[in-house]
Amino acid sequence: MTSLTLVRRIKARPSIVFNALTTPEGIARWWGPDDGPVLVAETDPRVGGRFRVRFRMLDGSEHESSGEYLEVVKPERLSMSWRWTGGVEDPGESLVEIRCIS
Amino acid sequence: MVNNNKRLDRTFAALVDPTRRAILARLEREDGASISALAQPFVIKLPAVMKHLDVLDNAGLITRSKVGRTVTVRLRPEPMREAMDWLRRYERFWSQSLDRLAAYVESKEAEARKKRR
Repeated sequence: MTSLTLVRRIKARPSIVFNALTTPEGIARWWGPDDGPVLVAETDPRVGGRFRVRFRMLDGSEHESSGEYLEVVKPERLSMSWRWTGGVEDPGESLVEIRCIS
Repeated sequence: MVNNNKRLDRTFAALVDPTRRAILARLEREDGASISALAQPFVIKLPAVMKHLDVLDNAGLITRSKVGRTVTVRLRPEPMREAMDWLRRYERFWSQSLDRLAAYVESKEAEARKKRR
């Protein structure tokens, strides 16, 4: 499967990172490539639960993605299926895996 | 969209090999080359080159056309463009979002430390 790995060194405890990844209040602060607003953030971070996030970019375009939580191990592991759902873009379903290594 | 993913898998798998990348790079410079001309710079034997061409052909990265006894190979850039679009889409979203995530949680961390003091 084609995959892309991105790594960030973050100076914060994993529990803070995990909350930012899984709560609507947290997601509203970082989700999206620019400072445009998050319009909808719904999460249910348990295995089988779903998320849906919609954001507007500064160019006015709106994008939405949703999926299912596949692995939720607070605070270090989070996996979810991911699909762009709002607009014309639909490159299929992908898998997002997040690991907090301290 | 499964087909789309399979196509991407084939494109990236084809690009993994340095000999195949060298062939593509050459076809980008020259508009069409014969198989013997393509094989010439490599130490590997012609059948091995043919195998690489099969992989590139299956991934849709080249076309082969036969005129008389000469097979001309040409670059077909569409799958690479599609692969670039894929990379760009995810790279852009996640790279920028993770930068913003890092800035946000680091400020939360600083806040939490201040409160504890």
